[in-house]
Amino acid sequence: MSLLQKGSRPSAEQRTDGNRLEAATVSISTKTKVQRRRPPSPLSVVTLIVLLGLVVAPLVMVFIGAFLNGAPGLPKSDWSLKAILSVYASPDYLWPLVGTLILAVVTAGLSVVIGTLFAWLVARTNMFIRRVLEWGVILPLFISPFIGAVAWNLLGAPRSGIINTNLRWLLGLDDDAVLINISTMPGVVFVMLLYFMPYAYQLVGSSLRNMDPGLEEASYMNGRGIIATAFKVTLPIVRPALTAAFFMIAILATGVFTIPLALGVNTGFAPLGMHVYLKMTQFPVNPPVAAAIGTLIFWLTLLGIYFYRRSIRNARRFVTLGGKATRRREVKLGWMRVPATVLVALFGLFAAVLPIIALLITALTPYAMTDFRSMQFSLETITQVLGSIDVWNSLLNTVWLSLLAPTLAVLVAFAVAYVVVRERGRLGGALDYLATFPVAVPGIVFAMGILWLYIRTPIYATVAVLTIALVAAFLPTATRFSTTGLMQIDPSLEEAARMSGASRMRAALTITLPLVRPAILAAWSLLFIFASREVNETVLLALPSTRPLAVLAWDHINANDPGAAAVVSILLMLFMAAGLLIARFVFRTRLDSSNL
Amino acid sequence: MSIDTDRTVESTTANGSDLGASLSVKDLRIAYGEVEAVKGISFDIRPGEFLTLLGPSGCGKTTTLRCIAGLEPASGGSITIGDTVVAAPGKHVQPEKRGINMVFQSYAVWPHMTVARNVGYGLKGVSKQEADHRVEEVLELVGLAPYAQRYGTELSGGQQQRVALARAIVTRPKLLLFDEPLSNLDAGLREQMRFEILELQRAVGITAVYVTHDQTEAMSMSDRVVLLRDGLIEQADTPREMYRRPRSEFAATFVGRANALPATITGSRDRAEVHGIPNPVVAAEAAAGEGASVAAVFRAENVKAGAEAEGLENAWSATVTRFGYLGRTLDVQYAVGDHEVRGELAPDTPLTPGQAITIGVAATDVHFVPRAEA
Ligand SMILES: Nc1ncnc2c1ncn2[C@@H]1O[C@H](COP(=O)(O)OP(=O)(O)O)[C@@H](O)[C@H]1O
Ligand SMILES: [Mg+2]
Repeated sequence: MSLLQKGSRPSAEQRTDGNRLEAATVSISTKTKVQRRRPPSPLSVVTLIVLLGLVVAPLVMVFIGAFLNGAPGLPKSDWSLKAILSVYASPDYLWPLVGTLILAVVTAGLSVVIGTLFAWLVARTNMFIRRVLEWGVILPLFISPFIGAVAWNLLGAPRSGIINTNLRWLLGLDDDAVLINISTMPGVVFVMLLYFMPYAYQLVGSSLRNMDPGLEEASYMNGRGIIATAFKVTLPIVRPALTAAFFMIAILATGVFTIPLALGVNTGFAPLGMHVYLKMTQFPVNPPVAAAIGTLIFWLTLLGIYFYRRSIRNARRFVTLGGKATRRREVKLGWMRVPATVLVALFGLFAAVLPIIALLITALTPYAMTDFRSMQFSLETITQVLGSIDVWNSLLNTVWLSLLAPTLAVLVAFAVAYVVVRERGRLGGALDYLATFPVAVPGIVFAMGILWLYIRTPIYATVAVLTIALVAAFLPTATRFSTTGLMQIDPSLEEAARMSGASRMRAALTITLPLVRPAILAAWSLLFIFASREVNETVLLALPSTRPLAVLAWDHINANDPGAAAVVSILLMLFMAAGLLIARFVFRTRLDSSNL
Repeated sequence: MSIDTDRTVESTTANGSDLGASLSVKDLRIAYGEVEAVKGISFDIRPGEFLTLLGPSGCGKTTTLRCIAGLEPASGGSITIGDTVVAAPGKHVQPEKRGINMVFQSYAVWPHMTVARNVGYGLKGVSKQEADHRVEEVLELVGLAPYAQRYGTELSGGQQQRVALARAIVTRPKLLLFDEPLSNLDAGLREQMRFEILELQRAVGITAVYVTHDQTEAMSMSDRVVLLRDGLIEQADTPREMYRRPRSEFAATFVGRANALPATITGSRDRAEVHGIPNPVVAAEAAAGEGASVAAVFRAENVKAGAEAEGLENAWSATVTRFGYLGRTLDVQYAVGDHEVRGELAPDTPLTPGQAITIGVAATDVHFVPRAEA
C-alpha cells in the first residue's frame, strides 16, 4: 500500500480554495437553500389528508352549525346569526362560562397537587404497602368518570344514598338528616377529582421515575435536606409534567357533562358542556345554540391547548434515559408514614372500593333498597338485564369499538410520529399540531361535528361513525406514546439498515416498527380502556342498535333504572379486565403505572 | 480473539484493491438551516486506501461522513464513488443505493435480532444458502462464530463492535465508513481493536474513511490524515508528514505535543524574534518574508536540557516551573522569559521546581508556521 501519492496532498491549495469560496457563500446561499428543500414525503401528505378529515372537518361542521337556524343537513336550515348572538351577545351564558372556568381550574389545581403528592409518596418514600396502594390510583381508570359518578350517586344521594340511609340509623339521627350530599357542585368537584387525579399522578409519576437519581443525590451531597431537595430540584424538574397535567385536566373538566348529570345536580348553575348536551338531546332541542356554545368552549380550550403543548414540549427536554443501575435513595417519612399511608388508602377507598361495592349492592337488590337492615339480595335484576337482547348487542358493539378504535388511532399516530420525529419535513409541525388538537375539544362538541358530518351518509347508522369519532379523540394520547417511543430509538439503528442496503420502507418495517412495539402496545392497551368506557362522544352518536355498553348504562340512568345501570357497568368493567388480561397474554405486554 | 485473515486473503488479490472503490469529494458543503457545518472541503481517496478525518469535536467530521453515506444531503459540491457521482447539485443517490457500508459510533446493533440476523440483514437477493455461508464466514473472521444466536443486547461493548464490523463488511461494500468506532471502548480494548480493524481492512482490501478525534488512532492507522477545523481542511498529509511538518499552529498543537512561540521573521528568513527572548529562534528552513508573524513550532520531545542543550542553535536559560512523572518520560514545564515551554526528559532526571537550567532545540526541529488568528 503506497502511502505517498501524487496529488494526494491537497492541503494548502484546498484550504485557500475553501476560504475563497466561503466569501462567495453569501451570494449562492439562497440558491442552495432552494435546492435543499425536499418535497413533502408521500407518507406525510397522506397523513395530513387523514388528519384533516378526522380532526378539522368535524370542527368546521360545528362552526357552520352555529351559523344556521336548524341542524345542519335538515332541508329547512338556513344561515342565521340568531344562535351566535344568543350565546355571545347575551348575559345568559356569562355565569355558566365563568362557573365552568372556575370549576375547571379548581379541579385541575387540586388534582395536580394531590397527584404530585401521591406520585412522590409512591415513587420516593417508604410509605407502607406502596404497590397495593398504587392500584387504588390506577383502578379508577377502569371505573371511568361516568360509572364513578353513577356509583357515587348511589352512595351519596341526599335522601336515599347508601351512606346517608345507613349512617342515619347507625348514628341514631332523624329520618331526613342529610350527612353528605353529592348532588352539589362540591360533589361534582369531588367526583372529578377522584377520576381525573390519576392522570396527574400518572404524568408526574412517570416524570419522577425517569429522572436521573444523580440529580437528587447531588443535592443531598450539597447539604440539602429532603424537603429542600424536593422543592429545589425534584419539583422544578417535574414541572413540565405538572403543567401538562394541569391543562389536560382543566380541558377535560371544561367539557364535562356526564358527571353533573349522573349526580342529578339540580342547581342554578350548569357547566357549559351540560348545556350543549341538553340543547342537543332534551326537548326543545336547539342544535345551533348547542353549536354556538360549543364554539365558546372551543375558545377556552384553545387557550388550554396552547399551554398544554408548550409544557409537553418542555417535558421532552427533561426526559433522561439510559441504564439507571443505581438504586434510588428512599425518603424516610418518620411519624408521617402512617398518615401518608392512610391518606392514599382513603383515596383508593373512595375512588375504587366504595363505588364497586355500591354497584354490586345495587345490582343485587331489586327494589333499590339501600338500608342494610332490610336488604334482600336476589339475582333478579342481573338475570333480567342479561336476558335482554340489548345488552348482548351492546357488548358486541363495545367489542368492535374497543378493538377498532385503538388500532386505527395507533396506526395514524405512528405515521404522524414517524413524519415528525424521523422525516423532520415541512409538514411535521402541522401534523403534530393537528394530532394533539382533539385534546382541546370536549367530546360532546366533537361528537356534534361528527354527527352533522356523517348524518346523511350510510355509515351514520353503524359502529363505524363511533369508531371515527374515537380515533380522532384518541389521537393525542396515541401520538404522545408513539412520539416518545420513537424518540427513544437511536436513529443510527435505522441508518445502519439503510447502509446495509434497505430502502426507507424496509428499514421502517423491519427495524423501527419492532422496536417501538412496546410503546405502541402500551398505547393500545390504554386506548382499549378508554374506548370501552367512552360516553362523552358516543352518547350523541349512538343509536339503539349501535350503542356500546357504556351508552346503554347511560340510557338506563336516564330511564331511572339504577339497578340495570349497575349491572351493565359491572359487565363493562369485567369486559375491560378480561380484555387487558387477553392483551397481556397475547402481546406479552402489561398495563401498569410505568407505561400508562 | 484475533482475526483470522488467511481465508479472505485467498479469495482476494494480494493488495486487495479490486474490492475498494476510489472516492472523490469536491468542494463539499453541508448546511443545517442557516449554519454551515462543512464549508467546502475536497479530498480524494485511492482504492484500498485508509483515510482518516481528524479534528476536534464539532469540526464537522461526522457530518462529512454522513454526507458521503447519503444520510445527510449536501448543500453544495459533489461526491463521486468509483465512477458514479452520488451527490451533486440536484442529485442525491439514496444511501442504500451507494454500495457502501458504515460502522456507527453507537454500534447500532439491532437489539431485536440475533447476531446472525444482524449480520445477514444486508444480504438481500442472495440465496439463503449463500447468505448463511457468508454470515458464517464473516462471523468467523471477527471471532464471533460462537455468539451467532445471541441477541445484540447480550454482548459486551467490544463484541457489539465486532457485530457492527461484521455487518458492515458482509455486504462487500466498495467503501467502508467508520464514525469514531472505538470511542466507547476501554483503553486496552481500543488498542486491540485498532489493530484488528486495520488488519481486516488490509485483508479485505476495502477503501476506508475513518473518523476520529483521537490523534493517536489517526496516526497509527491511516495512510493519510485529513485534519479538519471548523468545517475546513487544515492539512491533509501522511501521518509522518503531518507530524514532521505541520503547516499551521493548529496542526502542530493538535497532533502531538508541540510548543508554539509567537515570533516575527527577521531579515535573515530562517530566524525569528520572540518577544522577551534575547536571541532569535533559528530554524533549518527559511520561512515567509521579513516581518511576517509566525509561530515557532517545536515538539516537546525535542526540547533538550542541561548538557545536551549546549551547542544547539537555540539555547535559552529557563526555570523549571513544574514536572510530572509519566512513567516512560518526565513531562516538564519551563519558563523562558514570559513564555511557557513544555519538554520531555528521561524519567530519572533529578529536578527541583524553580531550578535554573539551560534548554535548547536543534534548528532542524523548529518550523515556522503562520500564526493562528487570535
Ligand atoms: N442535526 C444538526 N442540526 C444542526 N446542527 C448540527 C447538526 N448536527 C451537527 N450540527 C453542527 O454541525 C457541526 C459539526 O458537527 P459534527 O459533524 O457532528 O462534528 P464532529 O466533528 O464532532 O463529528 C457542529 O457545530 C454541530 O453543532
Ligand atoms: Mg462526531
